[in-house]
Amino acid sequence: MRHSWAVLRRSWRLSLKAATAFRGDMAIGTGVTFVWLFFAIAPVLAAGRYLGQGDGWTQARLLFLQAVWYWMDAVMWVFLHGNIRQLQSDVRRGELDWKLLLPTDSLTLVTLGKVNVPDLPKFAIAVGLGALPGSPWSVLMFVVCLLAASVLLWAVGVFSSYKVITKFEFEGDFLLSSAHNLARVPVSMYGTVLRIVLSSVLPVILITTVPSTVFFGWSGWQVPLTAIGATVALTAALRLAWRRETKLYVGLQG
Amino acid sequence: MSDMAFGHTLRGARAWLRLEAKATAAFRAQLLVSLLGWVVPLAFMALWNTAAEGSGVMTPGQTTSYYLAQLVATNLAIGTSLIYGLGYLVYTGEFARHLVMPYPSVLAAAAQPAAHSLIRSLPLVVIVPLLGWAMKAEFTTDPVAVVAAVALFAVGLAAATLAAVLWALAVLWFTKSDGVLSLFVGVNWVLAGFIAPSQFLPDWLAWTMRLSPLWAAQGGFGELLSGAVAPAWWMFAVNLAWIVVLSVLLRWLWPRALTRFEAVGQ
Repeated sequence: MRHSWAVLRRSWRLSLKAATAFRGDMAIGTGVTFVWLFFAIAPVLAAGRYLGQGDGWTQARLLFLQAVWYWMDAVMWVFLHGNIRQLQSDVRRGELDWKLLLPTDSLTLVTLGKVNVPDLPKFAIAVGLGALPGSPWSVLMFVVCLLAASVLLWAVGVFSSYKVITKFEFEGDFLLSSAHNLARVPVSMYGTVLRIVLSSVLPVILITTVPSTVFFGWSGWQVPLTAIGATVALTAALRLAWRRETKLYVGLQG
Repeated sequence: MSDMAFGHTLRGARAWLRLEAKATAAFRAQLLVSLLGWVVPLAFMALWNTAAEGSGVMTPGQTTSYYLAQLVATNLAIGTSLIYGLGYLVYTGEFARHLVMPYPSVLAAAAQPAAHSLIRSLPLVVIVPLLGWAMKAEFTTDPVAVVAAVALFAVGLAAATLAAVLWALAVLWFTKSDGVLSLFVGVNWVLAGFIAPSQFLPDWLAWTMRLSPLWAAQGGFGELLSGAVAPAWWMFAVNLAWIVVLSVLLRWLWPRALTRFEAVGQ
């Protein structure tokens, strides 16, 4: 565990150095991150003028949900997209072999090894956007749910794409984007059928709706426990699936 | 361009489109997953259905039909994929070989998105009516408005694609320019009426959208089909003017942009 963490830290430092090679792109990318904040919250700002008190989702609360969504967006772009694309490329070019042979946890190294530096400020933006006063208990429960949701999103992301290891043209990260995009609004706003699907079949409700409702005090202590349970179960299932898939991997040997 | 050269390009484009369609269909698992890829209109539909309730601007049934039209329009649009496709070709240096081929090099970035969008949109023929029925969408029953919506979609798509190609040329100056390229997506979200129907926005923003080359193929198409606006001559005039202006600009800028190309990578 400690060894994997040390490898990960070095790998992230390398990403930082690599990002400075294309300084122009990094500076523009960071600027664009701030511009995208406007695009992300614009629908809520516009719709807020027409939203009543129905269901409790006022404009202020929806903006808080956007902050949670933006945090997840950061998780997705900083950690997930780059690593998933790298995995796809490594499989197709026969370069995954050596990563599997390294004396460290391959799931951690392959799926978290790179960070996309220009998107790092998104974390700070999310914290700034969601800085609302709350009781220590609700903040604590919210942080637990947020961290569980971050790990869950990572697991969903890897699950959506790990099949590329044996089906080399597979690109399932569309599923990750879909789950993430459907979490832009509270699940309660969807019609009955979609609400059931997003609450039970797909864990979309855990990504933004649950952390937000926990912060507003609309959910009891059982909800964070459920979120942790779902995350642990999904991560364990992912470890099993990863092990099984990498056993079937046939390197193209460059 | 002579008639013969034009015919040659057209045949080349058709063959390339057929090839990319076959390649797309060959990877069925991948295709199945990508069909579920573009769901943002559903999220915004849920938001605006809630906001429209009692707003007096549009009914929830109209916002549903508006975003169903957006779902179709965004799946058929190729602008964003074209921008990233050209960006990738330039960044990897693969664009070099297309410059010496006997067809317009922009086809190299346009054929795959066009094939994808056509195939990806096929299931919408079933999905959209089903969603419309389940969510009580209110489409206009005026045949003139429907014909006008389809015609506006066609001219709007041409104008929006030209705008996307022009934006994509930025890659020839920056080489690696994901940040600049992604701004198009953001601008498109606002101007194409993706974040909201123009009816709900302040007048200055609504008219900026309507007069841009990005609104007709998405927002305008949706607003006409939902019956939120009536067909008007200026919708077509504005887009035809954009097509002329953007074509002239592209013809002038394209050769200048190509002189900036430096092959890096492979």
